[in-house]
Amino acid sequence: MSSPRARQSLLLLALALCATAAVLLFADRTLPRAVAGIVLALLPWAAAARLEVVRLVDLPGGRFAASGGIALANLVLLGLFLTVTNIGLSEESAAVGTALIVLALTLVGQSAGGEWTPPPRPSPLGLALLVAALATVVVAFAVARGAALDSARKGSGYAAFVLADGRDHRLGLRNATEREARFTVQIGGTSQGTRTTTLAVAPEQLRLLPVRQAGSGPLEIRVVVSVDGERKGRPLTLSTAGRK
Amino acid sequence: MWMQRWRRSKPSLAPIGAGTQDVALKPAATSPGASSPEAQGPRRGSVPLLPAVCLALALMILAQALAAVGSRDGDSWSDAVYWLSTNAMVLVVAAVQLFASPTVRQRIGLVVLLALSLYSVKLLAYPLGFTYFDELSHTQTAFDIFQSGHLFHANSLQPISPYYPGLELITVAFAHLSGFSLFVSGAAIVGIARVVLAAALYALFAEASGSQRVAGIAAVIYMANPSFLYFDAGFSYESFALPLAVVALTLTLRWMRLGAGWRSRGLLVCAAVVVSALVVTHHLTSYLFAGLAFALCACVLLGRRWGASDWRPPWQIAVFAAAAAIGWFFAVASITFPYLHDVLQPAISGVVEVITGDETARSAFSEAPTAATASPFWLKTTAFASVLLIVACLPFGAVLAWRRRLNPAALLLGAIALLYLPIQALRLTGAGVETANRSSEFIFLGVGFLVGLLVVHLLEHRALPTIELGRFKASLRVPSGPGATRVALPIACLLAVAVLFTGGVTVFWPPYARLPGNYLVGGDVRSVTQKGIDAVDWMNAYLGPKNRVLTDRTTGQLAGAFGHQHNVEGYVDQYSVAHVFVSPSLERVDRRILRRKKIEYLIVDTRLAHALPARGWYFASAERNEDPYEDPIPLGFLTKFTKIPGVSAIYDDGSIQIYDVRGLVRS
Repeated sequence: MSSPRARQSLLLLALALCATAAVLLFADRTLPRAVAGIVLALLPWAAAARLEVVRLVDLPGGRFAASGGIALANLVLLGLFLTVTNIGLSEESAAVGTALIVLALTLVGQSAGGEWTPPPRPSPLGLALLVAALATVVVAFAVARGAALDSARKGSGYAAFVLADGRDHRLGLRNATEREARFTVQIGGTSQGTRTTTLAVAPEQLRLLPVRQAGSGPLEIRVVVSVDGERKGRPLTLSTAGRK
Repeated sequence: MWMQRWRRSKPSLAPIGAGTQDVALKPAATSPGASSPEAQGPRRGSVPLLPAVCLALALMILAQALAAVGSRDGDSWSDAVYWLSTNAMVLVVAAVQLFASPTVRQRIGLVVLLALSLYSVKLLAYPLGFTYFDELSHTQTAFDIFQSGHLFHANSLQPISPYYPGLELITVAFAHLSGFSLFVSGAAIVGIARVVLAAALYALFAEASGSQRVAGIAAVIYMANPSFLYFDAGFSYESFALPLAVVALTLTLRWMRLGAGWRSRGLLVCAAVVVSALVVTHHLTSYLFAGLAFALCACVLLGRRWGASDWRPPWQIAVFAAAAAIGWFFAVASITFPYLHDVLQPAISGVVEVITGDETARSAFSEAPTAATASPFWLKTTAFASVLLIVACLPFGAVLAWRRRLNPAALLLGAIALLYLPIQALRLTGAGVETANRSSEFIFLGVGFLVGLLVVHLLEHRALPTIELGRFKASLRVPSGPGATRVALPIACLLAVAVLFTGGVTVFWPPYARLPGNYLVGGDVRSVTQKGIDAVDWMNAYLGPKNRVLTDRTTGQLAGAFGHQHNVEGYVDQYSVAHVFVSPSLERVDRRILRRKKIEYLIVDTRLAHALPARGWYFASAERNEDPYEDPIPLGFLTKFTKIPGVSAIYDDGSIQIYDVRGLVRS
């Protein structure tokens, strides 16, 4: 057993242990959690690349593909095992299971011979080109994502809804835009006859108001939305079927 | 060495030719560090080449982003930028593979970079979430697994999806590990799978051809297949299954060259692990893999008759793959048979009816109901040209593959390529177009190989391979003059690659779906809008999940994927459930549909009345019994529910209205 190989194995196992702990400790959508999760997810690939049988795949690209495929397959089968048993697929079981896969592949690959030939180190020019390429891709995705978000925001607008609330109802007015909007609500069929009221709804806010109803007849609700005195779209119409 | 195992025994076969760079005539390196000239390539300038190509591709990716932004704003230049940048991505990599002298690592790196660059085209167009029809179906399965930690929840969007959960399992696992959303996790998994696919394709083509140059260009040609740019980049089980299948094929081929022993058994175990994951990921791909494994056995037996003795037939892998696929079918996924029957039977019977004259053949590009949704003339021409180009190349590529017939991989890929023309017959029927398109990811394994062989042969010999059939002999030599004529052939090869790529995209993907833009009626991905997502999110938040809803095609997908509602489809008696929306008033049959299907809510998108549907129908293909729409659906058909006793209009955002019909159904 060569010393560099043992060091590789220890490194893989240490990384697996640290990444598992980080996944379990850090909350979602934090940088340490994301990094740990990505590292833990990729470790089976690194461990599989050390397997003797993978080293037998002497085709160019074959080892890379074979180790990747074996890693992906192991994660699929881990997921299958967890979901069909009482354990279930959760944060904890995924993390521990992946770490166990890394452990198993590392131990099996410990006895393999041969050394990994690292790729040639890029020259300073090559490194600069790579950095420029990565920065360009990041900018590209930022530009595309920004435009998509703008488009989505413009696509959101105003909505009105009515829900039963025991014998009465609740009227919801949603303003998903970035400007305050005034909702003029005309409600017919209430115990007070037809009444009209105007409410301001702040940007990206929802207002709920009760609508009391006496009798069993249906309610007819008409909502007109305006921003700075200018009407926005057609009136929104709601109705309830009434109670028997 | 393994590269020399195939031999040309018949004197009538033309030799490959002397003085070529083709590694087929030289022993290949079988251990790391070996330095045969072809395996390592020249070291000079080897590092700056890949970073330089990286930067070039990155600039094309930026151009794609700008095209997507321009398309959202309705800018007319966006289409031109789109085509120029996507073609530039492919041509840069093709040119380097053909005309530079990259090392093996650089060739593989180029193929991987191209796969990632082309993947970014789809991500840049829709970077906020899954929007394709199939993606939304698999999103529901992934969500159910994420929430419950277990399998086999019913999926109203695609009932078979929960029974082949491979993609969703690994996506949910990654989401749990990383804390990312299901969208980011799914996109990452598909991206990683494409990287693995790219490398596996290179290995497969290298194994079959014995040439790094052929492997590089064949992998590029493969990526010109109609489904690679969009369909295979989507979050759907087929996209994840294909890389597993190609990896399994690569492992199988390697095992076939190995002698008996513990290493052989170890490789068998690895192949079995990958095949097991494939079986739980996609039905057809796992069946096809089993078929390919058996076909490899046949190729080995044939090769032995011709004098080859260095390959072992992979019976164990073939039997294991078949047994695993059948076992999964019977144990878990018996729904697969009716599902595949409903997909394949109309396609096959449609072709038979066209051949027998019972049905008129479908015209190409005939589904576009409006000029805005139709491909322009130059794209249609390119699409036809790409098909003709492939058909023209196949015989010559087949000759080159035949010369390698003692290599089972070459023989198998050649046989797959010959299915290209019969599969195109499915395009004669409306039902068969989808099947023909989706089969391209398999057929192009062979097509890419044969065309790659031919391109390299042309460049090295400046002549087509000689076809000899008895006394008939065909050959064509390109005169090698000075100046322009020396450059003409390489340029012609690159132009052919561009035609294949552009034509392939045009054949499969409708023009309105390539780039984002304004809401398009009945336009699948272009019908996915924030309003629709907001409406179904509201349903989930205020009405709870799993309500039975009836709505149009795209809103139904959104309701299932994001709103977690149960989208109802199908028929009542001989009426499509869509009849509820396409009738002028709520007729007795519509009330019967609502009651029999136990509909609780209707989601009505009044924007449908603005235009004809891009796909030709709004709700379901059977909504008008094959009668095409001449005018948009009247708004009154969609808003007739407002005055129906027992029906409440409970949500309105100016475009989308939600009706509570439980009172009507119960009465």
